[in-house]
Amino acid sequence: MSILKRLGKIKTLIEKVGGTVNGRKKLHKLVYLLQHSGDNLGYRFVFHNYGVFSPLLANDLDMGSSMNAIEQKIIPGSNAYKISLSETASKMIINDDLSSKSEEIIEVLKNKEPQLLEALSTIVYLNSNYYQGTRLRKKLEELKPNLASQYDEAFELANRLFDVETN
Amino acid sequence: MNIFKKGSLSIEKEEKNKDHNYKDKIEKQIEENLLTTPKIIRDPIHDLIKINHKLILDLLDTEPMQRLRRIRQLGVASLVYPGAEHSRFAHSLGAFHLAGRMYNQIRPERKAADYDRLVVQVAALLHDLGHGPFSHLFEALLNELRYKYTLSHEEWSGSIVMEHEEMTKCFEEYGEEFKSDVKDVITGQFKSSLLKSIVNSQLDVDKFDYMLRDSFMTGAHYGRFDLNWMLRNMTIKNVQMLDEDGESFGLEAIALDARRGTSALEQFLLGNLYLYNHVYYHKTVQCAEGVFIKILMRAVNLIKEGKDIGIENNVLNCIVSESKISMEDFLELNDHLILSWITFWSKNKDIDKSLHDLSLRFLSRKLLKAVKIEKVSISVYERISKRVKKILNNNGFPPDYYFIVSDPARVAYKKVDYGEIFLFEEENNPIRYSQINTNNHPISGAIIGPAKYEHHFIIVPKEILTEVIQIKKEEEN
Repeated sequence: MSILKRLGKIKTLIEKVGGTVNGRKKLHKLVYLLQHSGDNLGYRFVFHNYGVFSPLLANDLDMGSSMNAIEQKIIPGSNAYKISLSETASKMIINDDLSSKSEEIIEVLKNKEPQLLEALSTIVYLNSNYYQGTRLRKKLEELKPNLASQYDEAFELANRLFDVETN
Repeated sequence: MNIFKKGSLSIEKEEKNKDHNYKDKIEKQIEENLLTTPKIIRDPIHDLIKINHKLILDLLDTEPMQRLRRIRQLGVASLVYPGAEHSRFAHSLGAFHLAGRMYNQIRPERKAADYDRLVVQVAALLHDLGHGPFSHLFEALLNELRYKYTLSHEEWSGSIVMEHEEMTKCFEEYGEEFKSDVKDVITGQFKSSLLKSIVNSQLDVDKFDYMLRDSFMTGAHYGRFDLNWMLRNMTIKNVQMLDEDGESFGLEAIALDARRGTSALEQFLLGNLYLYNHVYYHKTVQCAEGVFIKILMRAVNLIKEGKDIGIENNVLNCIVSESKISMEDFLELNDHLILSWITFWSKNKDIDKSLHDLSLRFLSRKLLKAVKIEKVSISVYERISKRVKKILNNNGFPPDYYFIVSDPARVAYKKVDYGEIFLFEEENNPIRYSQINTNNHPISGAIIGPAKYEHHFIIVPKEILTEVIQIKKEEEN
């Protein structure tokens, strides 16, 4: 899949979120979750200290910035980047549709905090890599103890949106 | 934030004791199975690879591991670099060997029957079990087809470790948790970022081996670097990480002696970038990869149309029916099988004209040709694409299979989000490589810059090449 095709999906995603994604972390987690739901955006994810991460997506965002199609600006007073489309984005990238399931997921998750998406995507990743039930919860506590306040909502969303059994 | 802050100290201690008791028990088993006379395997890169544990020998003899002999490390690159016929099997052995060396360097005090060492060595040995035929090309094919159940090769590797009968038997003596830990190191879910980073980071044994091996086998020596010096100057340090959300947390990481190791690190990072530019992203390699993917896309689409392609295969059927590929079916795939299909299609022109022609081109290395696009924007691409597709149609080449866009890109160093390389200077706190003083290290400044290569090709049949070059010139002006 060519970079322009992949960025076409990312452009649509940014627009559906409302024009700005607060944090690269949030974008990586969202793309992972959309792919997990069956909408192949062309990215391969690995699991690292901050959860699911796609080196290719990081690269595409930088390429999008160097093409003046995507803007990545540091959010003052934080370590996070605000990702949005530039005014000339439409000249550089053509939108590519997302699936209707993806649109539903974006609608539910677009205003959620990055920490919640990190907990949710970690649950989904663990679940698809041999962790279920109490083992999943234990592993989540081991890997992401800092996200404990997000667990309940994340498990509820994992169950509702991604059929992760939470009992 | 303290990463242990959630549990009380007593719970934490209890957990640690449980962990130690478990590890002690397994280490007894590991000790029993140490080989008194190590097996030696000769290797062109590392010379003698010593295997001193029965588990490694058992794993080498399993079908999933032996299958890696039939998957080329560099996919179709041997069409450009004739020596590049080496397999994922040889690379996996190299990664196993280096994981042991790196572990011994950072934890020299550990005994021979150390739990963590065996976990990380086994993970390095098995990390590529999940590669499909022609290595990364199978993943690329599934992405092109927008297959919805696509898994990364690491996730496939994890599945094979957990579920394959022979694998399970090998791990039986060491318990379910040992097996799960191996899987977790491969898939990144392991609790210790230190062990994960040996197998998967910007400074891991996977890269160490593939750079040296690919350089040697292709004859393109860009990827050579001072491995022994790099390893010698590694140690463990506690580092502080700053999350995007502003939370900081500490973890153990491998760090490199800045004074002694920076030049070797620069050589390594630049070597990696050059290998990508000259070998993996070579324009003829891109053409061969493109043709390979189009052949299989055509085959899948013919099945979708209800046509008989002369091949019956469960994986192709799963792709067509959008159902999950089973591990057993996945493991049936290898380079030899796919080449046998392509050979069959090259000899049977009645099945489908494009399938036959592309297969013939692939086998006889009469590939499509790449035209480099210098000015990249959707408008340039669109205008060129529109005109080229018209010419393709006029010449009887269906654009869906004879028009390929390829735009590989690689940065020398990723300074975002994961796997930063750490440097230390005597007693000072370790720093991220991206924070190095670039006045003292100008080459590092360029690497972090970031130094990068990006290419944009459109790939078309040789028969229309002259016209396409003319179109490109016109549209770029």
